[in-house]
Amino acid sequence: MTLQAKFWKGATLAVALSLAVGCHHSKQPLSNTNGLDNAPTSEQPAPTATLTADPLAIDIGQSLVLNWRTTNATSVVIDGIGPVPVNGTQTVSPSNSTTFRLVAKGDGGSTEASVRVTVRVPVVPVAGDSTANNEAGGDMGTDAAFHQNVQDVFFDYDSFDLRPDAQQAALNAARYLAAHPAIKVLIGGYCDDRGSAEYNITLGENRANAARTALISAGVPASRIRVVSYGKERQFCSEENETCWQENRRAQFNIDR
Amino acid sequence: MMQSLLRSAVLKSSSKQYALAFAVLCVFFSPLLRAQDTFHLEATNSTDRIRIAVAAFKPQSADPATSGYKNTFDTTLFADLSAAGIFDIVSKSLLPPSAPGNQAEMNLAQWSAAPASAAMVAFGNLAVQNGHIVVNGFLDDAKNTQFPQVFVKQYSEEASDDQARQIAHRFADEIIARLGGGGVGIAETKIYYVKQTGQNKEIWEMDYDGANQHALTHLGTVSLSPRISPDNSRLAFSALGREGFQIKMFSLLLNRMVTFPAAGGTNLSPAWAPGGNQIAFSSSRTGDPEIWTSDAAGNIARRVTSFRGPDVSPVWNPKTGAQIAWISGRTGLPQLYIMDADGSGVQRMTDGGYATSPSWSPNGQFLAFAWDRKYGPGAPGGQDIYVMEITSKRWIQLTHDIGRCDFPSWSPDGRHIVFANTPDGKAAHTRIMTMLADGTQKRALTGSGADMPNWSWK
Amino acid sequence: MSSYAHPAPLQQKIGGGFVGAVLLHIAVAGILVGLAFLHPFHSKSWGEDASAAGAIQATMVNAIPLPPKAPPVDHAVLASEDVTKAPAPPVKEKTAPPPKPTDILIKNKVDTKPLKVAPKENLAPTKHPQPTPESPKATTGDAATQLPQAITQAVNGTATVTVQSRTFGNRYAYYLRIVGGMVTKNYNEQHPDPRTSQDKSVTMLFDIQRDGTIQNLRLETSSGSPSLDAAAKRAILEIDSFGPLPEGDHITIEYKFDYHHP
Repeated sequence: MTLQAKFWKGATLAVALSLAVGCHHSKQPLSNTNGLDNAPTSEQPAPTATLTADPLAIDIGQSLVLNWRTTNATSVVIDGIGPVPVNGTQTVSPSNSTTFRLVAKGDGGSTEASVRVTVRVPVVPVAGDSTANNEAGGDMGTDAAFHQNVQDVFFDYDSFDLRPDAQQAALNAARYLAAHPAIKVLIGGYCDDRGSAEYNITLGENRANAARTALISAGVPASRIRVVSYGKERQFCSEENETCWQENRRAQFNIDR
Repeated sequence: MMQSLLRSAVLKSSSKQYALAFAVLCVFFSPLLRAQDTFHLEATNSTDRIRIAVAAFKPQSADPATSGYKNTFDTTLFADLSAAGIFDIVSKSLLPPSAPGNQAEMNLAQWSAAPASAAMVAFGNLAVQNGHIVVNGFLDDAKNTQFPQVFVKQYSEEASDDQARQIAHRFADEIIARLGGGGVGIAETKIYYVKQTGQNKEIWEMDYDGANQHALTHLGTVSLSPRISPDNSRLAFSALGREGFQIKMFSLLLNRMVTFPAAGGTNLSPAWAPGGNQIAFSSSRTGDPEIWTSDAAGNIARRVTSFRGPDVSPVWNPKTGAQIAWISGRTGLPQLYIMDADGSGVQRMTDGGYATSPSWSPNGQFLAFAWDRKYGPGAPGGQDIYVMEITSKRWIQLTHDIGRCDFPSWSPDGRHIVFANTPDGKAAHTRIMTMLADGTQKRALTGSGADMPNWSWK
Repeated sequence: MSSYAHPAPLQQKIGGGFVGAVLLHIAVAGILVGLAFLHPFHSKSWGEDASAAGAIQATMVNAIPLPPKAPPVDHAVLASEDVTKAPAPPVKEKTAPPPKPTDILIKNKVDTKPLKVAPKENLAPTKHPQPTPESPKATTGDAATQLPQAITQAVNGTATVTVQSRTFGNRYAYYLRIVGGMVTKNYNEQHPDPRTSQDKSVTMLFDIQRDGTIQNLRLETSSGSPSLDAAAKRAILEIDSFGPLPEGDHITIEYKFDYHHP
């Protein structure tokens, strides 16, 4: 009798254990390479941050004002500016389109916020096109108008996942394309100049395709979208620093003429 | 009793910890030791090499044209035999002060005695007749007084500096064919590469020693990944067009582009099978970049891989033509894989880092590739050239601290590797370097602006 | 009838027992044979113990004077005695006056020693000035009793490569040197078990085809040490090609390896 009982006890234990172990083997979600967000410790409240820019798009030579608010933070740093007070404003005049990123650290952890600012420069590096001057092209409108309203999508290092700001940019682009049904868009995929030439062409392709998927999910018909990858063969800037590298890691929207 | 049990358990665990630490250390270090173990990469010790003396060739006349060609010939011959990696060349200061022009003038005793102590002697004469350079080249066995002559050959080409070099290359290759134990000479081989011309990149060609650099394509766009066919007749590469990168074909016999069908998506990094009748390449015509094969004219394309994630840079096993090595990002960062040519038997070769640009050795045993083992955002570790033995997966690092290295390519004799290097990390400063397959004797072949070299098959 | 009936059961009994005994013997023999098959020499573990055997680095040196090879010189002396008879007598007279009368009286062999030495000295000037007792090669046309050889030093012994064609070996001595160098270089990376191979020699025989590839590799004389035999065989099998033959359809090479672990 005891033996049988022991047997059943052992069997149920084994089954229970295997179930538990099986649960542990369930797939974990892919971790985002952008791993700056730490899980806050349970004791302190986590810091929050918001960062805005006014206006969001300027002509080269003009300036804009960055405005940020944080809570529960002890140190706040903005890329390209340095340490700043926990709340404040700053006037900046970037020479090309940049993403301003703010990192707020506190006892409860750290968080970040970013805002994308577009700077319109006279010559836009449109790769693959022999005509650099963009005249008013009839139905599709001017390139200048297009770029004023449609911002590029930027990516993290060796990644083709759409960050929140990238998703927002893609949504904005989809909205503009819906409002101008004649426009056909060419998405160019780019990489920074590190990494190998051949592999980077596939990475650029993946970035462009990610942007394309976002447009299609937002309702843009696939027939209006074309994708070309340039890898690292066309660079938007040439400095060897993170700002320039981020500048190059993008999927660019252009009118497909 | 519980306490003593606990104590013994703790002791056991601590000694276990020591043992574990020791074992971990052993395991950690043993790959390093084994990586430097007998890893015969065909580089011979100086004591294994044949000691050859290269005499200055005798000019048949004293005019400056002849002596100019003779100097070019002598320098090229000396460099070719030194670069072969199988000879112990007698240094010029130890040579006897004679320049025998033919067998009758050769006094072997002078050359086999100290300080030259040569086992073989290469010598001969050079003349310019009727606008032609005529060279008679001899190779003698200095230890065989009875039958010293190994071979004699005459070469005659139109008189020019370039032809003086080519004759020296052919004579050097003949010597290597006779003495090299079945090895081929590389003195007549070429290297195809990408040259930055302003905003564009074109495909150029040069001799294996960096001489005679000249353009092949003039497409006015970005052309990458040149790969020469095994019979030296066609050059496949990828060029950027309106529809993105496409595979293009250039005929060296006709000296112009020839047709190759375009396809949807991005098509790049072509690679020839050793028979010359198949090409492998990466194509995203189905959406995801996969490895495809087709015949040499680009027809009957067949998909070989079908895994989500970018697949690029295929290369065939040049000995069997039955396997393909390539780079795949299916697990995240690009890693090196091999498979059978029909897509079965996929094997992962690298265990991490960022691996790229494989090249398969002519004897089928090794893969050379570029690897960054400490890859990370911000400031990644260095990217260097590695060679891995396929059966054992043991590897050796060939470049250290010379800057970013990429695109290694084996020579047909399996003793040399050519690669791209940028000493300060800037893409514009990339140049092409060559080295022996064990990492020694590195030297630059070009100045800045040269990239992605591909060594011809013969 | 009855006479048959009686022996029949007896015969049966005897037959039964006899058959049983035979079967038992066969079974025992079969077990012995089976054991022999199942537990043969564990030869593959021999020679694999890398820690004991020679160095990893190959320091092979060509053309070094070989004291152990002095005995073969006797043959050359016998052959060359015909050629060099004339100079001998004056040398003999030289050695007679040296102030060692006791030595000469006691040992007749001392007389013969100068005889041996002198022809050797005479041979030297006709060769190149290098003091190479590796003269049993094709360099001396006088060494007619010996087939052309190439001798190389390996890390743990000496290798002798002989070609079974006098004309080939004389004319293409350099090719022999290449063959010896390549096989010995591979041999240096093998690790025969030093305990069983010490002072043993193995002789392998193989043909080289016109394109330099190896055919028909066979063991001519075993050294008695399986790991040494295997090492020599592997060293040869690892070679793809020696390079095309300078002449002829094929040649036969004898590769003898003497193992001396220092």
